[in-house]
Amino acid sequence: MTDRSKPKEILIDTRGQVCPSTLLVTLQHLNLQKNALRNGLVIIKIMTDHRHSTATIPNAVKNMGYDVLVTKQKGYYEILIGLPLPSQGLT
Amino acid sequence: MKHDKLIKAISRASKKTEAPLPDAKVAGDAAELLDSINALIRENRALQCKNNKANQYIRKKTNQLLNVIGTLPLKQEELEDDTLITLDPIGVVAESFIQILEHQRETNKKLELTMEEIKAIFDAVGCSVLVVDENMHVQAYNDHAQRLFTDFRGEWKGTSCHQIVCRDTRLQQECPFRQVLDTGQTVHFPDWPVRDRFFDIVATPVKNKEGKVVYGVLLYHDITFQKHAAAAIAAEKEQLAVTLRSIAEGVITTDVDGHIVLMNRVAEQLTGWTQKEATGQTSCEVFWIVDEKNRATCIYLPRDVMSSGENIARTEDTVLIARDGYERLISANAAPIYDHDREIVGVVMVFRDITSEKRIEEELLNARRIESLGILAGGIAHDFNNLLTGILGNITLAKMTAEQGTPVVEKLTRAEKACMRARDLTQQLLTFSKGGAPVKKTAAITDLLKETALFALRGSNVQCHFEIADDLSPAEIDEGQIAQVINNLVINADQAMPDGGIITVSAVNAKIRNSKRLPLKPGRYLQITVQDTGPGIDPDNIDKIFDPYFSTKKTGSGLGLASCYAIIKKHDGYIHVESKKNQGATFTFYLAASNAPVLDYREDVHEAGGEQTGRILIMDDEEMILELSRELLSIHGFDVAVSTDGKEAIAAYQKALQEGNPFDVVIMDLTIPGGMGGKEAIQQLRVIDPTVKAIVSSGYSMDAAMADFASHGFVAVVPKPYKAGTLLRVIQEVLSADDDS
Repeated sequence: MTDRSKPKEILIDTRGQVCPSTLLVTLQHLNLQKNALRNGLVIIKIMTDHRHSTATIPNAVKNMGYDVLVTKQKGYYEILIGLPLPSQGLT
Repeated sequence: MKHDKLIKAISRASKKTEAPLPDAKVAGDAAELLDSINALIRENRALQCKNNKANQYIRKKTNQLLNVIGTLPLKQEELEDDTLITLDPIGVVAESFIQILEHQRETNKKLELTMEEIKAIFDAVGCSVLVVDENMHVQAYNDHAQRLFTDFRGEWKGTSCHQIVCRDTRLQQECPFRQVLDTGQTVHFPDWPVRDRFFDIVATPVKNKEGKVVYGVLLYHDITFQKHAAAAIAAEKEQLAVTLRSIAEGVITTDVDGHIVLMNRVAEQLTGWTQKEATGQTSCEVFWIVDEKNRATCIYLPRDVMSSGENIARTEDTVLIARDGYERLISANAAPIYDHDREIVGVVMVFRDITSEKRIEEELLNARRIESLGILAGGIAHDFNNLLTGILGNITLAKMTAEQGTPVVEKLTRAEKACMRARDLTQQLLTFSKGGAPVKKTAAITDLLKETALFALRGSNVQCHFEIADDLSPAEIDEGQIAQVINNLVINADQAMPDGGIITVSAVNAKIRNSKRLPLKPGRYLQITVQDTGPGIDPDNIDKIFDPYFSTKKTGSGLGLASCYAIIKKHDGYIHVESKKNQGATFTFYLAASNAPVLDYREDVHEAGGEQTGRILIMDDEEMILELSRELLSIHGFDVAVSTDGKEAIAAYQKALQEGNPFDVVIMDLTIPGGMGGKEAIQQLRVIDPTVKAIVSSGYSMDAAMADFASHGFVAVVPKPYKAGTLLRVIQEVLSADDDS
């Protein structure tokens, strides 16, 4: 049985890349993990140091129906994508 | 090398599309091969061109998609043409678009459902909803609105809401939506009049992303019915309040815990608490009632009603102690208040002050007691008068036999006076008992005033002054009763001045014309005044001092002044009082003056005349009276016969009549225990002899036959006890009247 309360986390490090590359990489993984994401089995964690991506990625994934959470980490941004996200404070 | 030039030219031409193709001249013997190579180069150049166009197309479309998805376009240096194909951004974006579209489809479905829900709510909501744009034109409305504002017949959508709803320019200026536009806030008007109706209106703004109000949602809740109902309830409440205020009973209601909820004005007056102060207080705090006999604990009526669930009535022994400590006897009823579900929701207590009722009840009891006492006193007085008659008669006889001017006669005269006082005392007793009808005689009042006043003041430190007119008219009075009046007034005045003072008794003749001040018939009167120098009468009491049983004295019976009033009234006179604080009190009474000559009741037996003749029949049950009368009258020459009751007297009278030796005068007692009294006997005697001369004599002065003897068939009256002289004078008068006729 799958434990829905603890979805698998897939980490994608796009640091060093800029838009639209970071977005395209993200979309690629969202497409790949579509079913698992929609069933809440996985969440995707994007690491980016490109500030613009913190706007473009959430915009795009929200339109796809996912929840997004952007947090600032040391030297990069972390963008969590899932359906729904297990944590609070969804954007 | 032979073909070096050619090879370089081919290499150049295949790398650079703008480079010319190698010439056949350079090829030499390889010209044929060069043709084939050139054909391949041309073909390759065409393919490269095509490939570039395809890549540009892909980049262009990719950028378009990236733009749609909201990100930056691809940069050439960022992604080589080869990588472009490998990465397949169009494929990635396209696949993402599938997800976007799927999401939008789901969202659309949800939106449709939500729209349906909103529509259902819109129509199901129990009030009217209008959605208006910033120009106040209706954009949407629900069925309820159409049913409410039925008088607008046109197309709603696009029409100004003012035309549909308000139709009043004044209201338009204060329009709720206008305020929403101005403030950007939801506004609420709980009582908004629109033409002949009233609404509770909530106006809510709908803002765009920039925060500008683009729509307003107006909710109209028609509260006209509630308003009218509230007005009706208010009217009913007012009516109830007025009723509660108007009734003579105090009303207090409490909640189930006994806390005061409501109280009317009478309750406020009786408890000393105002409604405002009392609200929320416990019943016992405000409505402090105790058992008259057991005053220890407050009677907690709400608790008793709540525990029993039944009405409680306390009609006796209940004392309400007001806030200021004033105590009142009350009658109280307490009952549960039920709601629609028959649940007890409170207690109502209704009570009234029965202090005066109780007082009247007690007075009535007192009056009955006095009445029975009076009957008893009357009986005693009768016997007492008989005894006094005996004593007086014997004193008279003793005086007759004694030598005139000796100390014995003087002592006997004093004894006689004391007897007369005893007679007056009996008279007072009778007056108290049944207000004895006055036995009036024309009398001079001067001596009576002086003697009575001085007698009443014996041993007192109060001085008495007399200011009595020399020409004071006589009056038709019952001397005993008027003496009683003077006695009471003087004693009252004396008691008002325990440290001494002056009482002035004055009497003058007065002529009363049509007087509004005095309730007296016009005529001549004697105005008699008893004035003291005491502290005066409290203004609060002055109206009550003639009331029976009203007394300011601890030991007072409250009968003194009341009997004065009764006596003067029976004499067709009038008594009143004037008093000012610390300026004494002045009692004044009026008695009708008489024109008749004064009869001197004090004449002595020696003055009554000498030897008499005549036959006299005396009827009395008292042996002593009979013996005394016989002896007294015989001494004066009368022929005396006696009988002990009416029947015997009638028989004796009849016999004497038949024998031709009739009696000249019959003297009869009114009451004969166990036998026929004078009242009945006279009727029969008058049948036998209509000219019979009968004198009534009784100790019952209250009997009507004594006051109005003539209408009972008697010719004269001699109240007991009497002095011998009085009896002889009356007999003389009767006999001489006979002579006159």
